[in-house]
Amino acid sequence: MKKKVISMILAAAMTAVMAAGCGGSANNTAEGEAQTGDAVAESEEETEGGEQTDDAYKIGIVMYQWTDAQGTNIQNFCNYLEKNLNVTFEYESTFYDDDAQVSCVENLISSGCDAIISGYDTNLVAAMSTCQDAEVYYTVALDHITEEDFAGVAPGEYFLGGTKQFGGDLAALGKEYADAVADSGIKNAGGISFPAWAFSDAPEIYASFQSELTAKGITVQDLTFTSGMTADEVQQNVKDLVNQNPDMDTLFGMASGLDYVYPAIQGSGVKLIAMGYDTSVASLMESGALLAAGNNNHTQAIASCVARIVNALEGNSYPDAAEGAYNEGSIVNGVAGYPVIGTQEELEDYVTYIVPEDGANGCVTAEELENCIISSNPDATMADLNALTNRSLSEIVEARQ
Amino acid sequence: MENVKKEVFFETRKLTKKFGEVTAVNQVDMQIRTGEIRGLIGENGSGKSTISSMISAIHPVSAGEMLLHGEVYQPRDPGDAKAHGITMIVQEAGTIDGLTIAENIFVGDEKRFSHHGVISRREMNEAARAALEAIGVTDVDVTLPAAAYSFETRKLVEVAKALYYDPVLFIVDETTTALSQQGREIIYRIIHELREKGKAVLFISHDLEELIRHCDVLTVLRDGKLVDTIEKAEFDESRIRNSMVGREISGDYYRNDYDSTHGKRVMLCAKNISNADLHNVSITLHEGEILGIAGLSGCGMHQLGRVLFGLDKIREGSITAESEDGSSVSVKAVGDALRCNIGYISKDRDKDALVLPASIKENLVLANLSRMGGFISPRREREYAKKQIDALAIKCSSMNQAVSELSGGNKQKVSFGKWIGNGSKILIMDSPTRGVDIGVKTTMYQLIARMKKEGYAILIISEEMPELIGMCDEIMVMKNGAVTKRLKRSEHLSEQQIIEYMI
Amino acid sequence: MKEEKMKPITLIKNSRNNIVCYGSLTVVIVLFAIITRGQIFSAYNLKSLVGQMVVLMIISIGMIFMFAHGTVDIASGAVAGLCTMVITLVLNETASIPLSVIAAIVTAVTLYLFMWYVTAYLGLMSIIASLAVMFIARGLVTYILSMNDGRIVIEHYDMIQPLKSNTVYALIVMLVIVVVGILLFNYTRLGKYCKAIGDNPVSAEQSGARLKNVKFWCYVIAGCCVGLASLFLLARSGNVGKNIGSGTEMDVMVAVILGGMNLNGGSKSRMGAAVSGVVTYTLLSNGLTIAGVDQTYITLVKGIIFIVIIGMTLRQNKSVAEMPR
Repeated sequence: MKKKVISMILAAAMTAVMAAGCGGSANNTAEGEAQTGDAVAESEEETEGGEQTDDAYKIGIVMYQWTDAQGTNIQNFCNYLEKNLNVTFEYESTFYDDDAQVSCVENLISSGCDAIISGYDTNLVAAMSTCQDAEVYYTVALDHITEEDFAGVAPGEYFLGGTKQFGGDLAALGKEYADAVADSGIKNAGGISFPAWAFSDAPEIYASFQSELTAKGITVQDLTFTSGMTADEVQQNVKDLVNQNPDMDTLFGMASGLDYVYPAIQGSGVKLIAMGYDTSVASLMESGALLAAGNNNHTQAIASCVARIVNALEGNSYPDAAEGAYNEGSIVNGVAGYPVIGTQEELEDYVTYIVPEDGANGCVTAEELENCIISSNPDATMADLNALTNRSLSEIVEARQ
Repeated sequence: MENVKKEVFFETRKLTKKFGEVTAVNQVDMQIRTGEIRGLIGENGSGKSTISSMISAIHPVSAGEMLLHGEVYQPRDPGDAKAHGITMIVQEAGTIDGLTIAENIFVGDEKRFSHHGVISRREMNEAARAALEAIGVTDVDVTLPAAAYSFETRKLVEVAKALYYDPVLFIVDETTTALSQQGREIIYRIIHELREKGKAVLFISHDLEELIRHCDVLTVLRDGKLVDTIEKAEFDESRIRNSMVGREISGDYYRNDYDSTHGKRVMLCAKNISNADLHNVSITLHEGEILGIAGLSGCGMHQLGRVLFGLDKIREGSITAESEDGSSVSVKAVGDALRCNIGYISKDRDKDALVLPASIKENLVLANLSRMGGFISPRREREYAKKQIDALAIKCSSMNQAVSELSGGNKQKVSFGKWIGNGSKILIMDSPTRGVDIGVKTTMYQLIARMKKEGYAILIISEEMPELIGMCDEIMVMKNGAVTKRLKRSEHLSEQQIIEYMI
Repeated sequence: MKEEKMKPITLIKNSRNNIVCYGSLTVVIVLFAIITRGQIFSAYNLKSLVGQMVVLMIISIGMIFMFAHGTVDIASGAVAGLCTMVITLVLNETASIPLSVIAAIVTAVTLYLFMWYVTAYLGLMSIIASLAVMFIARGLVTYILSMNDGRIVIEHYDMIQPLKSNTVYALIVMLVIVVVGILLFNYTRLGKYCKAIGDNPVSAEQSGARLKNVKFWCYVIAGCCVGLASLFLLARSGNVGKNIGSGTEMDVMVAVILGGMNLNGGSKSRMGAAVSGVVTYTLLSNGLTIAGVDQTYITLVKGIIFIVIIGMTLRQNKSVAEMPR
């Protein structure tokens, strides 16, 4: 009897832990399909032999997990780079366990990586000191880094900086969202975001969105913050917000718009503007429930990191590195854009160029990237790299056509 | 009774059971007739329980076959055996604590009371009451959970359950050992009634006297083989004993002297102790004395043993013993008892006295740990264990064998060894020979007699009157928590004299 | 009579726990040595492995005392997390490593003794008590973090960084803890009583074990281990985030199960289960990455290896399970 109770509690505890760990993932079917495609591509590549040489630069990438859309997107791009640039990639996941970051870094170093790209600034100081000891370069792809993040510890020569998100301009992003929805006939919009300590850029993006639309005579309420980070909390907050504002016809969901916010407004008649992208966007936009969506450009973020890594491994550095537009004090940051989708046309472009299965059609080609690598182009500058990795959706479309 | 025609209805042919390399039952041919109480006797490990387990489909048959009413009988599971009219009650608890008495009786067969998928509790309770009345039990509330009743009552519930299905063969597997005299009487009455009705009973027990008194035929097993089948007319205690053991039992069974003298030194002294179970009990145990305590199971004698070892608290009175350094210690907790070299062999060997999954060595050493100092070297442990295993002739493959794999007698030797080895001078033995076969019993009695000579002070708490009469210098009879009589050792002491003060 | 025949079975049976204990370790070492072509034995990787296992090892050694006497503790991760916070706060205040470690150990032991008290005197099931402590510790971490912008930074990271960078410290501490753990568990009264209580508390008590007393020391040992481990956890984390230490309790359980430990405790408990299990578990994650197993199904591969190892354990148990009544 007692044993039974214990085992039931244990089972419950384990489920809880697992559920917490898996909270972020979505769209498993779509990924599954993408994955199969991947595997085929990989096996072909192996038989070909390709242009891989033994002295290819080996770069490790640490993410929370690889089974989501973001992971698929990044791996597709990396597979493309492996075939067209002198690099190979090795992947590792922390599975949302921050303590595992250093172990992941160590494992990648053990498997022979010359440099490591980390998704986030998880355990930055400890991970950096591990890399410093092993003389391996370290960059952060999906977050920008400030001197404060190092808390007084010197980053060291093996730190190659972070990557500024949202194209490095929050106000412009807010405006882009505003422009995308201004003509859709909305009259009264609200906004919801994670608390400021979790998503510090939200207020600035929203402020620009708000002023832009207000100028066009649309009522925009002040931003509401969620009480927590879980789906349940967000959905409760969204429901309360919708009930208290019967006039509101549109909601800017900045707290995982598609996964968390949409289920709570489904059927209420309130339309969604989402930060986030997944495969449901197409049907939601068609039905009119979704006015705009958008996402970080992961390809640009990885491209920016790879260029800096290859330069460093070849002993080169940009002449203008210290004056980079997105630097924070002495810390060099790259940049990555945030494409916003407001129309079916833009959606098609997004699918074709931002998240393609074959990286050759993507927003950064190997050729373009090589142009920013000093050994291939001695005149390359940090400004060139930042320009390359901060192109908007329309600029990318133009470049491809 | 003579008018019931006795005919063979159940038969085993070359019945064999193997557990891995071990052959537990070896080509047994046995025939059971209607209207018969068949006794099955043998030492621990002789295969009695394995045979009953095969008949009731708890274990599958390895080789050979069984015939029921002349047809091959191959039960799939105990439910199937029940459907064939074969039910069994065993020594271990067979009821489920959380279910009511009625639910326990009909567990697995609730369909019987189902109307369109709903089980009628009222009908079930009625039927349960009727089932209990059929065996003469009327004071049980069938709607209460089984946990509310004593082990003995629950055993009777199992009997009611087994008989509800009107079995043609009723197996009683070492059940009586766990019961008090009253409980046993009920079982005896039931099996005789079944016999009158022309059913058969397979009665397995260690208690030779009980078998001789109630059985019509006795089958004797040894090492998995059937060695003898004896009709009632030929029952003879020494013949049965000898064929069980396979040799002439040498030496005396009980003590042969009637010298009740003992040392003067008082080893353990309890004065006017009382608590919820005991009323004003006083005991003085001397060096070299064997003191017996007799009574019915509810009389408080088992609690007395616990109290003297410091396991239960007392409300009034005092318990004193002499500690190792000669000072007088008041025994309030197990720690005090250990300091005074008191050892305690619990009534429930498997549940209380031994750590079954642990090895023989670990069990033997356990009671001596407090005397082994800070660092316990494996070599000392081994030497200590080996000494006890040799001294008590414990049959085992190695000292690292788990105690759970030993036979009942050898288990009991381990629990004796725990206390003899650690230098205890005062031994409280609660039912020391329960469930132990005759061979081991003899060894135990000889050991106890020798310990008396060596100056040990021994307290035997037992429900088996012959054992107390045969072994003790003095017998204290208890009833309702109080001592009703003290009887000195004597050639003329009889069970009747003791029982008189018990009830 | 049957003794001779039983010998081979008995031999396997008696060494069964050792087979399971070191069998899975051997399997994992050989497997990865082959598929990584010896890369797991590189000097750098051996150093990394020590660093990766030190936290889990210290906590597991302490937890063996808990599992052995029949307590399933699920608070270790949360308590370790709280202790990293205590170390950080004390270190930021005093810049003294000894003081902060003492503070962490005191914190952990206090929480564990609270569990002990609740279990021993209020009669609550130990797992419920540890569940409560888990929430208390996790709650405290979240609360204090929320007042510090979600993250507490160590002002003197350079002081504890050597614990991460210099493997010698981790190695020495780990060795000392393992040796002390083995000594206490196998060669003292405490360890032996602990195992007996896990199997049969009634018998242990009748043999002279004072249940509350024995459990008290088990909880103290567990607390000390968790407190000490948190120092290394902090050195590897670099700062205190809300997830710190989470999931460690499950890692501990998985590791000791891999080592052949029965979580019900009792006489089959082995300190070797912690040692071999933690090494196996760490090697599993490390080796799979070095072997280049695709991250999309790395969890699946881990799960399969885990099941295979557990399956081996179970089969060996079963071969001797059916014994005559």
